[in-house]
Amino acid sequence: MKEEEKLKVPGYEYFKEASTASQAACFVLGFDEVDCLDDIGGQQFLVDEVLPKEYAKPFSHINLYTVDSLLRPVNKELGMVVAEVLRDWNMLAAESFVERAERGKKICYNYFTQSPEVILALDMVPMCVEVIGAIDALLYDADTCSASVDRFEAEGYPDFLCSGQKVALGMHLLGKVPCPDAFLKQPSICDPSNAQYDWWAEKCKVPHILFEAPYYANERAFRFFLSEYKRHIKELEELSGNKLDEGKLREYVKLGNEALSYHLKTQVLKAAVPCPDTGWHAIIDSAALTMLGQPYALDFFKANYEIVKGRVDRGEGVIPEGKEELRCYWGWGFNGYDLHFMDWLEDEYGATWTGCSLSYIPKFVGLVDTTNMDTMIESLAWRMFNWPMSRQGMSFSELWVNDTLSAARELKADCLMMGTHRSCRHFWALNKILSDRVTDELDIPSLRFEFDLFEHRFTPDSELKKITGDFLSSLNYSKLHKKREARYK
Amino acid sequence: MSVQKGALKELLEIPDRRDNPYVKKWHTDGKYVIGYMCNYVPEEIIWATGMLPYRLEARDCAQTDEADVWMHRFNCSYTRSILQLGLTGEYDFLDGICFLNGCDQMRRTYELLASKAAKKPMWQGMIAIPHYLGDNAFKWYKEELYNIKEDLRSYFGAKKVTDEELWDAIILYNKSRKLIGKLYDLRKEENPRISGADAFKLTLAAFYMDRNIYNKLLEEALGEIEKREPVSGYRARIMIGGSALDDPSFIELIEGRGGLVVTDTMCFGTRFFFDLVEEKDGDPMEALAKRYFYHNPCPRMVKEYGRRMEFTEDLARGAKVDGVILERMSFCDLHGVDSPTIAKDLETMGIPAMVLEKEYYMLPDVGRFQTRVEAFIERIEG
Amino acid sequence: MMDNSMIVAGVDVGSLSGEAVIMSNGNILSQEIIRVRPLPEQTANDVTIKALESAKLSLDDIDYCVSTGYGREMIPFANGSISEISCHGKGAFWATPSVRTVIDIGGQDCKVIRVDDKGNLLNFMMNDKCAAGTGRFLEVMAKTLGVELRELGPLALESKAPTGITSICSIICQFEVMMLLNEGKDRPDIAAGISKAMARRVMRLVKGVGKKSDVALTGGVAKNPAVVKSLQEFLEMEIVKLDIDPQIVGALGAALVATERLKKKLQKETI
Repeated sequence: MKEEEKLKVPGYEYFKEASTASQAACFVLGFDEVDCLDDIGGQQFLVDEVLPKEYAKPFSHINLYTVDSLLRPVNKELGMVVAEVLRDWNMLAAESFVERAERGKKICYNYFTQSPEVILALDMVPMCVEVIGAIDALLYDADTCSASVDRFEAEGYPDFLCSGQKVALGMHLLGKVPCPDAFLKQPSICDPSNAQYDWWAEKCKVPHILFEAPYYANERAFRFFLSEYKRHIKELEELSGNKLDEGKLREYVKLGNEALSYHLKTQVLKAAVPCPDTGWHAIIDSAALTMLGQPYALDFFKANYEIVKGRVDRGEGVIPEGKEELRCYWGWGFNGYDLHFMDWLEDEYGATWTGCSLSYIPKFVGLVDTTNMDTMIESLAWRMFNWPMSRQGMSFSELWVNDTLSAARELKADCLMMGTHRSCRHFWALNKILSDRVTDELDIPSLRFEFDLFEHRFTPDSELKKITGDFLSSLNYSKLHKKREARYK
Repeated sequence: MSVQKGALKELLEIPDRRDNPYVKKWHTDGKYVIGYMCNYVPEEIIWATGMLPYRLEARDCAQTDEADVWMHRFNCSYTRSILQLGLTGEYDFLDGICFLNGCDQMRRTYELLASKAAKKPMWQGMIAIPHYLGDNAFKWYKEELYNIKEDLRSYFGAKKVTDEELWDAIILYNKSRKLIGKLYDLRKEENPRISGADAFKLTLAAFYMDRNIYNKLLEEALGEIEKREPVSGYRARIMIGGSALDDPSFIELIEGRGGLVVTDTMCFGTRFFFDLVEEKDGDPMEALAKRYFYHNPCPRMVKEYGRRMEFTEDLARGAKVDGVILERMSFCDLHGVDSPTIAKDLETMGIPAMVLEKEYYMLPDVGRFQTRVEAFIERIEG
Repeated sequence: MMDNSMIVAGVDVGSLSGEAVIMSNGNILSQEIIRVRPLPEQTANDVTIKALESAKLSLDDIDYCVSTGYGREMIPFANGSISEISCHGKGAFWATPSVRTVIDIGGQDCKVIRVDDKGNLLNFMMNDKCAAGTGRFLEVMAKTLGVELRELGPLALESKAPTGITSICSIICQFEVMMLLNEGKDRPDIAAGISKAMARRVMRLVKGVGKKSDVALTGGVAKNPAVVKSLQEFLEMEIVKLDIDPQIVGALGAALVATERLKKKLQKETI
């Protein structure tokens, strides 16, 4: 297909442009000795004078928090990888819509707790709805993402629904993102996403293929989950018209395993003092976990592992020299529009990010057993059963609280950050239980605060900084360090 | 129990949770009361085990200060109100709670009720229900019902529940459903003899007393209603729907502005009593599971929008409504998506519909509600 | 039969002000606006008498009176009441018959109203409980900025580059404005940012109901030229100018309803 024909294919233009915007970011990152946009005359100058024409247009709408974060010296190496991953992922997304138009290749919009290997092995394209929304929030400026949100809310829907889906839905209504061939969802985890996926599937009149995760975290529940996953795979086979092939699945699973093993190794390294990892990519970690089985996840997790490993070997941290460290564990996750905020925490307060509940993988999850088809399906199910959010969505608060406490302990946290998305009904009903247990059992301070996953208007950067800044300046770091040392003796 | 003031009056004065003579009598007889919240909990199982199922409600709860310590303002005010009542001791009379993962907020409320509000050890059971209607999901739900039945019985040391006892319970509860159905049929008339608020109160009473007594009282009350003067002079026939509502004052507000509420799609209304349990030989548990699993679905069930819309339309046409008011509680995600969608589809069919955002306790906002309801009725009148 | 000399009155008792319109034979005889008194009936009484005085009439001359606004039911001399939503639609339509969409921004409320080609209510939406998008929001922001409410609009018009005020919550907005002041941003630019934020909030309702030209703006905030300007930008169309004071549209609508009802009453009596 020629380029002008491609541009008529729904979905192509948006993702192509997102890819070009990411390529423009790569271009800017290629300048040596440049730490922030101001060094090269600011955004306007870049757009007018420096960037090649085809890069300049999308770059004029780019999210400056993201670019500044990518350019920060300590972030830059991984920043380049992230920009490239964004470029390639978006390009593949754009081309997938063309492939669909040309030869009917199926595209599935899936929930972020679903590991995509089976979808890939069936020769379909997995695209995570929440990652689509993140592209709008992360890559583009506030007006772009707000327009998506406003478009969905203009249909009469309330603002408290989860922007994880709301943004993608708005993008759809704005004509940026077309209907998929199916929606895939674990409907047990969260109501806002259930309702919004269902709305979208209903509107597109395409199959909504579910697999139920039960409420309990026990053997009987897992057996049920597995049976549901197998049923789900059958439906996927019908949708794709292909039979799941063991060899093909193994290839994707191996690629996913490799990527995840790097993430797991990095997780262990993050217990080092001072913390060897930066916090700006918290949301990228969560996004990359939806891309297991694709090269993007591997590129990203591997690059980050090598960078972190290098710092550990050299005994380096990521905060400015002479700053005292305050190790934070995040009880939920972080937002997707303000990467720079984590840089600010590190630079101003030495507050490092040791991990968060939306990207932390418990050790017992392990890798997928590639022996045969059955072991692969069973261990993929086991992975998803215990995936971030899948697991937290289960049972009473015990699971969430205990997992958080043990991760915070393992990562030697001095402080629990409980900044949470406003639409997470689960978290807001257990945040007090969690903060009480943290006080009682770890004896570390915690801070509860609100934000919206992708909506900068809900709590602007300035507001986030004020809340956390007030809290952090009230803490006595050396006292907390002594406590920590006593704990790990 | 003899009722001197007349069955209708007795039922209209819904037994107060603090001073409910029916619950007191039950306890005096040495029997247990089990609370539950969601329509997907089969009351018959609790009844057949010899206990009184009591649906938690939060009428008259005007503030949630204590509950807000444990749940955030981003949780809906209905669940926070229930928790508030638990924390302030209003539910101390319960001997157990049957949990069910109806929606995220509801199920998070249970553990707080159990861990923070309960002042004595009580039975806590959990029924985990899947989110879609399919065979594999149904099998799981049925298993859950067997488990809960056994769990409840053994905790209280009750004897094994026989199939016959379960069938008796089914017949008793089906009788209530049929009687409430008759009550709703009366409301379809051009000039019904009962207001929407009163009909709602009569329905609600079912949750708070022995069904043998309730059925008897309701039967008598239906007779009394037929002797009443018809309601006249109303300006519009209204149907209501949306987020959980157990408080008649919302209907009173609509009726105070000239509307007459003639039917609803509420989980405390039609979705509670529609669909009978099939009374035929065989396994009563299977019959119960079928009825409760497949009954008119709440928006928590995924992929059932079409059926919900059909149900809504049928009810609206059947009761000849002029307009539909769909309430949408703040932070109720499920109805937050469902209500505006249903409203839009109703409008397309030519049935005026309005989505009304409200908190569980609406006192501070009454004036604004009145204006909106009134304008809606003015719009219907043209 | 309706006599041409019959007098009708419309009274609108709101949360901040009260308005009265006296009409006869389809013409406005007089109109008045006052600040609210402690009791709604007092407001209604005072404003009606004031309006009657300007028309050289007294309470006894009124043949039919309809009240509206949040205090509409507490007015002893009114023959009936109607919601302010219907009134704003009818009033604006009467003033300019090409109007199909009315945006009413009052002190505590914001409503978007659609009317048909007869001025009857088609559909409407009202803001949620929060203050963003109401006159109250502007009042708080003006205070934060240290200017009088009436100065806010003209000040904003001086702006060349409005600052971005992004938040949707009025409390956080206030904080944002304070930050912008601390950063030394120009006050006209901040004022323009406030107007834009306000207009954006109102647009949520407009989108919900759907806009149809012509669009009219009523309520006190219609007097703020900067909000009008921002709204026009978002609407991508001109807001029609009503030939009457935008603040009396509610009372006018009530007076029109009074005329209709009086006609009906007289017809019934004749039969």
